[in-house]
Amino acid sequence: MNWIVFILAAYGAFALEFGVRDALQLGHTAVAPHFVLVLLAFVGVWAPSTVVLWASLALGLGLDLFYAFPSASGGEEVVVVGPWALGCLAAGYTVLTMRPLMFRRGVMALGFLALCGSAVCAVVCVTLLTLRARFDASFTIDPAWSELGVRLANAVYTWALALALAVPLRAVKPVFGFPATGSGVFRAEGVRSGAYSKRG
Amino acid sequence: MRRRLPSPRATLVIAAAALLALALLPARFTGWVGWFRGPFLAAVGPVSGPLRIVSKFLRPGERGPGRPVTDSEAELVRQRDDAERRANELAAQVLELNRLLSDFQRQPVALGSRVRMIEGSVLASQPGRGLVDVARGTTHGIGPGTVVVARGAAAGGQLVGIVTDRSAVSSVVHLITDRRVSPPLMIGVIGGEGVMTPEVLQQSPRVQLKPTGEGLLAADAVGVAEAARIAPGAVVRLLDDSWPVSAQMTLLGRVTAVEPTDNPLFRRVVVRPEVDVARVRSVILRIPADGAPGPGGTP
Repeated sequence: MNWIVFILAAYGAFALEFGVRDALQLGHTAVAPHFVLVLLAFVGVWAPSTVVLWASLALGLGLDLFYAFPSASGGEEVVVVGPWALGCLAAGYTVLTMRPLMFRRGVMALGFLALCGSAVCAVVCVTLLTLRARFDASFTIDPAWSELGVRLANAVYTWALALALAVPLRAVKPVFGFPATGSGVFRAEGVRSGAYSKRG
Repeated sequence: MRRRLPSPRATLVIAAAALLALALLPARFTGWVGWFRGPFLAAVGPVSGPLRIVSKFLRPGERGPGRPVTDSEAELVRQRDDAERRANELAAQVLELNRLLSDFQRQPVALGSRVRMIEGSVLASQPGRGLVDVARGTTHGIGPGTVVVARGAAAGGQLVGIVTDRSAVSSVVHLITDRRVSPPLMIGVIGGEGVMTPEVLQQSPRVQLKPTGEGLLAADAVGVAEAARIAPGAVVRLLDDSWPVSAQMTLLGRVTAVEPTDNPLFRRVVVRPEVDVARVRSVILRIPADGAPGPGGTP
């Protein structure tokens, strides 16, 4: 994968996350899609496994820096680095695990993988934040079930966004320089892992 | 002889372990990571700022049809609104002086301090957490308790929130519509449009508002007699000593409803901000000229 293109794409995704995401909120709820997780799913579908995991970690770190928490005292905001990063890492791993089962060129595949990745990310993120909030009273989060409910709703919305972005992303896929894959799903995985070359 | 580097997988495991530790350690050990937030937002700001125009197009946050739209007209309206706010603040000062004279008290009068105003664009908005990030920081003189009002023709000096955290180039603003905002209560004086005289100000009904969490402010225990003087559409301005001096007489919104409550002796007054404060694109930061935020300004 061309890392420069990935960095530019991540920059664009974060700009959209910061600038446009709030306009897509459902009413006055906090339910809105994550552009960054769509990019994560897209990279997860096509890139080699180690690259996917590192890219997921990098995207998660950016989300950790962005989504600060109000402090319990009402003073300075608290930046918690880790929940999003590990959540995205888990999301990347989920996508890697599921992609051999998908017809990757299909529009639905990106949406479904984005949904699964976002849901896993939400669970990991809320778990870590809830654990930390038990012994660190410096920041406030909503009750775990409420937070998880909103994040799972975000995951469903991210699925819809991924469906909408699947075709444009497929058009720019060559720019990313993903490794060439065969025509079939299983052949692609075999080429990546080197199984076919070993058989001669 | 070349040293053998750890494999990418091993490095990934080490990184994940480090992140797990960072995620679970208390804030006093991990406070330093917050330093990276400002530069990160500043780096993305040049693109996310213009994208907020798209956001505005998708979901207009400002209400008030019929207001001027050109830049020069908007600037004139802003100046008029600021002059009105200043006049109302002076009326409040006269009222306060009268009260002090009548009570023979000797205490400094907080109202009427000079403020310096700078414009800032909104980098990012997190309505769910009641925060927006503004592209102005300590290098621009932003201090804790700096008050933020909306900029724009339709905004009319609407109070957006209060700065609770800042880096060199960006600041975090806590929105007035979020339940976690500090100070949590806002005493609003209800009046008509334009400039209020001290006499009118003294007789105007006051309500103690708090955020509802749905983009509104509400006073839940307004006496029936007081509520009878409040009509939907009335303008509500902040007049509360617990808030910084630079926030006094800024606009809180308009009364949208005066509702009955379970207790027949009280009414509930609902106030909607003139603009959706979570979706403003550009703001004005009101910095006390003497550097001190004043009463209640220190979060």
